[in-house]
Amino acid sequence: MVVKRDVEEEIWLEGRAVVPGIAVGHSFTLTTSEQESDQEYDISLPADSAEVEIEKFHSALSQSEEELQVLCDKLRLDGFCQEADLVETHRHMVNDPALTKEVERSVREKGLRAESIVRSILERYRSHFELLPEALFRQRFEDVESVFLRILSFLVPEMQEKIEVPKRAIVFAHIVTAPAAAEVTMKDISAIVTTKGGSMSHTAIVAKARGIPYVTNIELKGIKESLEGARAVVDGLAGLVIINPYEDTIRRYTALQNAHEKYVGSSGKKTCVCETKDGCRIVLLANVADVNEAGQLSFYGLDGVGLYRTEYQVLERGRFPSEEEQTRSYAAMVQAANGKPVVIRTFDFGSDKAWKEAGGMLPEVECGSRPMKLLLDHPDVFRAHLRAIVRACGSGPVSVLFPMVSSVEELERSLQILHEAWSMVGEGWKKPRPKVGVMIELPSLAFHIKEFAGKVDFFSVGTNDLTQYSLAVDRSNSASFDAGLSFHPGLLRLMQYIVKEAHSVDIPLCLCGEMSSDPLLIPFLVGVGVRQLSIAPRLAPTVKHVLRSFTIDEAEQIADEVLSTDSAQEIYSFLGAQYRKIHIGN
Amino acid sequence: MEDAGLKTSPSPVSVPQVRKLRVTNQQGLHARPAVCIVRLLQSSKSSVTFTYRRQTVDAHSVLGLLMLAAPRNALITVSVDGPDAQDTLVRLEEAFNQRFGEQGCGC
Repeated sequence: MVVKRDVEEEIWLEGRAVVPGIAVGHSFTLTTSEQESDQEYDISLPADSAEVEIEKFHSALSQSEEELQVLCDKLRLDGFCQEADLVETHRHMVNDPALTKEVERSVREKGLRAESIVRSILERYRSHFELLPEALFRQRFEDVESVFLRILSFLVPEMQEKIEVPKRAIVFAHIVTAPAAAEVTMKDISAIVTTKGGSMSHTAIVAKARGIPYVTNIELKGIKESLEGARAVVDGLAGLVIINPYEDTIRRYTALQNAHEKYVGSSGKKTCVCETKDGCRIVLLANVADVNEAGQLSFYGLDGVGLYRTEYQVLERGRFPSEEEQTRSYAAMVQAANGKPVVIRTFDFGSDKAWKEAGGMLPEVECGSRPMKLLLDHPDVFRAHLRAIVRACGSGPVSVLFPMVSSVEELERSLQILHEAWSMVGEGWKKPRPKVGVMIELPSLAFHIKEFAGKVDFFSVGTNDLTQYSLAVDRSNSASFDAGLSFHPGLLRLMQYIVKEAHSVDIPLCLCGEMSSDPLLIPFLVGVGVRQLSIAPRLAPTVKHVLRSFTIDEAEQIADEVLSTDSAQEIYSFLGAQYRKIHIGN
Repeated sequence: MEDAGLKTSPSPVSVPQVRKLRVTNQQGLHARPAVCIVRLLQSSKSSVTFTYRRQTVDAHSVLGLLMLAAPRNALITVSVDGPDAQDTLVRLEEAFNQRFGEQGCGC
């Protein structure tokens, strides 16, 4: 008996976003039947056909190479340098003389089919790689296998899987291994969801090149029944998958999808500058923690790195990276930004980060100390850190950003150490001095802004900490932290005051933190005079979309209205109404 | 450059030049460095083999180089035989020292 439910529950699944984008559609489950490699086939050649077989093999090689070259060029164009490099290595494997020689010899001397030789070489590599002691190399077999399977797909055209995937489907699979399968599968689909597959897996690379939203780490067990043909939403921005979405969910996601596609569609992204409806340019920068993220600058048409969080390397390693390691990371980041400015923030260990883990190098650090105090108390660590940053200057425009500065005096002491670092590794090498910025995260600093004139090149407002310290809420404690606090009238007036003060001394100001990408707050922020935002790259399409929906005049009116409103709830309702008026039209 | 041990007389019988080179980049001789070596050798007229853990491979082959699975600090016996052996060896040594461009060398 089939029990028909009127309204099916929507199922939310959280995974990891690999390729950003939004898709709304119907799901299709791809059951990858283990490659039928033990299928029977004739391994020996008919007499006198060796040269024909060799020609066939070479044609398979050149087709593979051509396909990889196209993929590689596309990736490079979109700024996926690492992915392009990996595909480049695959291209070299296709052309490997060892492979060609062995296949040619075995075809001629043993009268074997190229297919069977390629398969047996692949198996030989498999058993060799499986025995390698280092996991890093063992994993590389994946690359070798993908290359061989690609060659085989051209050698044995019947091998190309005949999977009929419905157009615009959202494809769910445990894993997609064969590269040809990945590419065939990804024609005309709207998103892909897998249980397994890293960001450098072949599926991910193809999805990136094609701009197909991809979410991984989604466990399909237990939802298989509800999946087949069901409607689904894939949020490749947040790494969410929603099965059986409610009508309202679909409506909201369709709007976001339209916004997103407009700004990262293959044609749109290069030309789409970040500006308001009346053409006022807004500088849009990226918050990044790793050099791999630098590719997103060109993907999302961002103007540079507004916040490079250096402390993540410490947290990742569980120790301070050596000066050499730091130098390498920072130089790599500056090079990857390709001439766009990079703001490197010095180690920021606040009370909300697990900086105790780095304690191996910093004995007796107390929780709750401020990051600048920590660095100033350990001038050797600080100097080495700054030397590494100075060395990155010259490869591109570099700025140093000091977090959580509490006074002008603290800045001056930091500047002294920066000067020492520069004298050691910058001056003689004709390196330009990095620009210097100070983060405004302590409310008290708002009243010292004018005193920084002539000492700093820019300000960066860290809205997360500013909110926390202004309103005495703990961000790490989600129970006490309510997102609605961003609409607190006192906080918004403080924001306006900070921007006005910075303008009065002619010091540029950038806003980073969650506020800067909040669609409701953006018109207010622009209205009070903010012209630079630093955001998580994946939010760029949304932010650009919002910015393009209002004029400066409208933003100023919204800001005036907000500044004269006394309750967070009222501000929230007002900004919500404005948002709906602009974006949904009701 | 003083390199008495490697000097060869210009005789028609070539003697392979052998040198031990250390892998210094973080991840060892993985796919990208392998491509770097193969590219570098494209312009060389010599035959080159790498030996590591008693396994000898053709250095013109990415697959072969990957088979070595040489991690960081591995000491590779490089043997170069051909008309431009000296030059090839110098360029290989440079590539090893530059960590195969892991910090952006020219190759």
